[in-house]
Amino acid sequence: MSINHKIITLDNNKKYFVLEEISYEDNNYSLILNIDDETDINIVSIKEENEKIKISDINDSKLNSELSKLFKTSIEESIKMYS
Amino acid sequence: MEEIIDIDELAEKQQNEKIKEYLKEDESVSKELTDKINELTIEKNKLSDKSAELKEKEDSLRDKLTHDANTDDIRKIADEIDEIKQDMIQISENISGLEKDLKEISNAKNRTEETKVEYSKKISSTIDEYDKKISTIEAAIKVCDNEYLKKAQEEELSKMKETLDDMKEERSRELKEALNVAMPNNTDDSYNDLDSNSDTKINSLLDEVTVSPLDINNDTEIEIPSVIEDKTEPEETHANDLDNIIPLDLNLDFMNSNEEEKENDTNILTEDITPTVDLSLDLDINNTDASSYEVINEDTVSDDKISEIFSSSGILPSVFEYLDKMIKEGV
Repeated sequence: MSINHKIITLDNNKKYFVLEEISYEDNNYSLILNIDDETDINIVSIKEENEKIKISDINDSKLNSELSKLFKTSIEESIKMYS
Repeated sequence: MEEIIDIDELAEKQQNEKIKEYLKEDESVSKELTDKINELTIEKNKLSDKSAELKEKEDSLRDKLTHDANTDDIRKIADEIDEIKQDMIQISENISGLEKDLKEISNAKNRTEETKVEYSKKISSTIDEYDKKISTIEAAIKVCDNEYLKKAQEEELSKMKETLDDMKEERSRELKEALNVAMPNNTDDSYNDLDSNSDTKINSLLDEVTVSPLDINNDTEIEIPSVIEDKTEPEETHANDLDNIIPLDLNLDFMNSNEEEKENDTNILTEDITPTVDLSLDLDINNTDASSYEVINEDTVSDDKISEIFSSSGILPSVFEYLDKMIKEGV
C-alpha cells in the first residue's frame, strides 16, 4: 500500500484528492476524488513525461477491474490505519 | 554476548533470497548457452587446427613435387593435393557454419541477460509492493488482532505467490523459446571428436567432419529470439458511467482554498469532453490527446485531514460503490 496522500491540481484547474497510489505491471495508478464533487471518482494512470506529471483515464475495463480490486484492498487498509 | 541484527539488512537479504528463487531458470539457461558457446569454440579451434594440418601436408607434398620428377608420382601427388584442397574447402565451410551458430547463440545469451535485468526488477518491485502491504497488515494485527486482518494477510501472501508464479511461468516460456531458436538441433550427442585417432588418415578425419551435425545446421536460418512479447491486449472502449454514483453530502471545502476555482471545477469526464467525443481515454499513457491532463501542482495533506476523510461516513461508501462497479464491469 502506498501512503502518499496529496491534493493535485490539474491544468484545467480542477483539484483532486489522491486517495491511493499503486504500482501495477510497471505503471503507476491513482484513485482520485474531485474535492468539489464527491461523485467524481476516477482511476487514472500517472506518467512522468518531459519532467511533467500527466494523468490519463483508463478505458480498459479489465485493467480497471483489476486496479479497482487492488484499490479496494488498499483503501480498506487505510481505513483501519486512520480510523 | 547478544548478537545485533540489522533489520534492514536482514530484510534485504531475505528479499534477495526470494528473487534468487525466481532466477534459477535464468541461471540454468545462461549456463547452457555458455556451455554451448564453449563447446562450439573448442570445435571451431579443432577444425582450424585440422585446416592448418592439411595446409602443412599440402606444402609437404608440393616439396616432393619439386624434388621428385617421376611422372607417376607427380600425378599421384597432384591428385592428393587436389583432394586436400577439397577437404580444406569443406573444413572452411564448417568453420563458417560454426561461427554463424556461435554468433546466434551469443546474441541469444546477450538478449536473455538483458531481459533478465528487466525481469529481476519486476520480481523485486512486486515483492516490495506486497511486502509493504503485508507489513502494514502485520502492524495492524499487532495493534488489533482479529480474524479479518489475518485473512487479509493470508490473501496478500497468496496473491503475491500467484503473481510471482505467473511471472516465473512467463519468463520460463521466454527462456525456452530463446533456447529453441538459438539451438534448434540441440542434442547431447553433440559434435564428433576429430582428434579421436591421430594416426587416422587426414581424409578419414575429414569424412567425420562432413557428417558433423554442423552441416545440418549450416543451412538452417536462425533468427535471434525476441523474448519480450508484446502482451498488449486489444483495448476495449469503455466510457465511465457516473450516472449511478450517489452524490454525497460531505463537504471537502477545507481542501480547497480558492473559491473561484471551486466554481469552475466540474467533473473531469463529463464536462470538458463533449458527448460526441469518445469519453474513454487511451490506455497508452504516453498519449498526448486532449484527455491527458498535466499535474501542475501537488500539495501534501496532513494526517489529520486524511484521517477525517477516511473516518467520514460520506465519501467512502461512494468510493467503494465506484470500485465495486468497476470490478463488476471487468468481469
